[in-house]
Amino acid sequence: MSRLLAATAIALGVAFVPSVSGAGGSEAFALAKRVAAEPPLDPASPVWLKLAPLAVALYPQTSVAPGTDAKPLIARVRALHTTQTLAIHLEWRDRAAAREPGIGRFADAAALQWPVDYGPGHALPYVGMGHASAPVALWFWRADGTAETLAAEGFGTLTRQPPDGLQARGQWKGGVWRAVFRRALAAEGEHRARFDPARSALVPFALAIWNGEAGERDGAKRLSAWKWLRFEKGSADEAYAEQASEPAPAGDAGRGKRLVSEKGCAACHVFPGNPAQPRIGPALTYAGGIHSYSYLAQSLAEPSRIVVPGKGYFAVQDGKRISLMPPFDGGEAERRDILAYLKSLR
Amino acid sequence: MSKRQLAMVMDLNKCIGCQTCTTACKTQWTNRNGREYMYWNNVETHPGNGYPRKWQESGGGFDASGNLRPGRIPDMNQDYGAPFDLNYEQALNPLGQGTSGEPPQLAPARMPYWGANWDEDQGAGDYPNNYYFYLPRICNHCTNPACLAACPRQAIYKREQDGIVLIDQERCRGYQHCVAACPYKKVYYNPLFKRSEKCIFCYPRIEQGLPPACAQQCVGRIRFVGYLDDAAGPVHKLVTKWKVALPLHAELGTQPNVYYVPPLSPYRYDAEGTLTSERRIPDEYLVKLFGPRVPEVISLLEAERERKRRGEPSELMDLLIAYRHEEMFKLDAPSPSKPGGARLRVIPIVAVQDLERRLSERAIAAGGHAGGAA
Repeated sequence: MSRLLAATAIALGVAFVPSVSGAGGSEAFALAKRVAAEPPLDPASPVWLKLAPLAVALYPQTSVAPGTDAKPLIARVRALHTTQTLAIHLEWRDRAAAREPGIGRFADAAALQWPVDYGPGHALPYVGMGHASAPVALWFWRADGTAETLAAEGFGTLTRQPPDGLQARGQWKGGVWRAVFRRALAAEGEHRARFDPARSALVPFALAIWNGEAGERDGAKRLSAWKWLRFEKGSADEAYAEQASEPAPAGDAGRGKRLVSEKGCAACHVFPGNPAQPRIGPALTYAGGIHSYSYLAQSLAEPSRIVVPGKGYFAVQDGKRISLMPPFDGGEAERRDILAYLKSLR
Repeated sequence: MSKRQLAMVMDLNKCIGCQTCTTACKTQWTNRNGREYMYWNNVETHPGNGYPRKWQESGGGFDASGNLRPGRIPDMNQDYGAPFDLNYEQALNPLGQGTSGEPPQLAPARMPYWGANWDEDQGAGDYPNNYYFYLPRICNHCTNPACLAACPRQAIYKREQDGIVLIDQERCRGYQHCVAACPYKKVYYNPLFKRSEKCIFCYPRIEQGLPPACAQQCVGRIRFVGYLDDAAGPVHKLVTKWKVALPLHAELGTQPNVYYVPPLSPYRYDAEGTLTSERRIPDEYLVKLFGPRVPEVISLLEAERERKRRGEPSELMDLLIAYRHEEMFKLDAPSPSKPGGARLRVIPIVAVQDLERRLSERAIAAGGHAGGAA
């Protein structure tokens, strides 16, 4: 857990829950408790508020335009499931409720992101709306009462899907939004989030929150890294739990910071302390907050694996996008130091 | 880029500011369902603040290196002007209201701040050299639309067959980047449907071989409609052959497809009250709107007008006079997939009503303009 997250959590009076540890990792899980009765759609129900939440940090989206310069935010996640239904409860601070969009006016909103395909052997989609051939399903709630299911394979591809029975309800009270998303575990059709606790009790999810009164909509939002939902009654796959666990960075972030300057990263990437404001590659300002260690490691080794859309840092070869960033060619120690530095950016 | 491009030419020397085009558009498309405040077609007085207020200072379009310039979203009350909500019930009640017995004056419930023709006929300059002209505006159906470039959703597209710019209502999510990005402020957010909308160049009429309603109804015969590449059409002749029709604010890089024949104006009086040879509308003002070719075009218009006055033939003047309304429009015949299209380019008003009925029967109602690309 980062210092910032802990500090913010304390400032917000969030009670920290001891994390349900993955196989040796430091990553926390949102535990979906198994209940007999249908979880309530009412966000203020005591059924929800007595559950211990997982605190999830959301960071401003700065990888592609339009982004936001808002501050990081903590959301608390609670979950319940029955044999048929999954329900997620989100809670976050917002001084003023923006309920209705209008001309030049935008409403508060929140979304849950799920990989369409997950489980052992499946790499996680790019956290920013997935990537080509790795689609994500999205549950979107907006303060005007909108509840819709969408799917995406990268920035700009978000597409409304036929309704899959998703229900969502939000309530603002005393500077806090609470919202419940509820849907059947199973779902018909393409590009859906599907849950089968008997087969996989671990499901990746990510959050996004929009602050309407700050004009946030579209990519101007705050988003979390991939987190994990664990069904209380389900089968935990050891290998997948291993994959889900986030290794603690082994390198020296201070050395990594110097290396990032020496290796020329500053020519294309925005990051704290870089006097230039290059727009060529995605901004790294919150890279450690929104990206997993393994994603960052892969991006260093194989920059063309995921080329973030909406940026011009690629050439097209044989119909494939090839990143202009050369694969990292330094030593193992340097690699670890740079990764430790990137993970510290949050 | 689309294969062909439909375009409109408006001769500003003939516009009388009657707003018949505005009314035609409004009754056809924007008098209902969250569009009440919108004017897909408006006629504004220049010099003036226009509609929405100060749209020329609202940003958008592209900079010299082709990047989108930041733009702002107009304000409902300050810039568009909310539709007036009048107290008809109280003011027009013959029995009066309250104890005085006098009904209140007919007035808007909320003090209006701006409207589509708020500064109509104000213009500039002092008597006897005061001046103004009308500028009718629709969506420019740009070849390089800033709205399209600004949309992260790929919801805005140009039709292959005619270059009409449309917003796919299925993909639009109401982010309003397009509203800010359009330098002409001709994209509007519909607060009822929570999506953006704009002038559709009356594409259901185009598909029937008919001009847009604003052009059809124009009593001043100022509007020409046709394909830019159709050498036999009036638009091509005015834009490409005679080069007297100029785009509005071409410097903003969107390559607009509505062209204007710049207005001539009466000569100025000097202090002694004798006419000078200087026109009342300053060239600089027109150059700011229509670019550096304005003086050249005005000279050509004057020369051709003089020829006509001497009784010599002038193709340009004959075109601009528009002896026959139907010759102002050259469109394709109705496409075979759309049966029941009118063969005539011009139809009487009765038949337009019939067309409306036929269109609505075919469910091409306003708001259903999503999947326009056939």
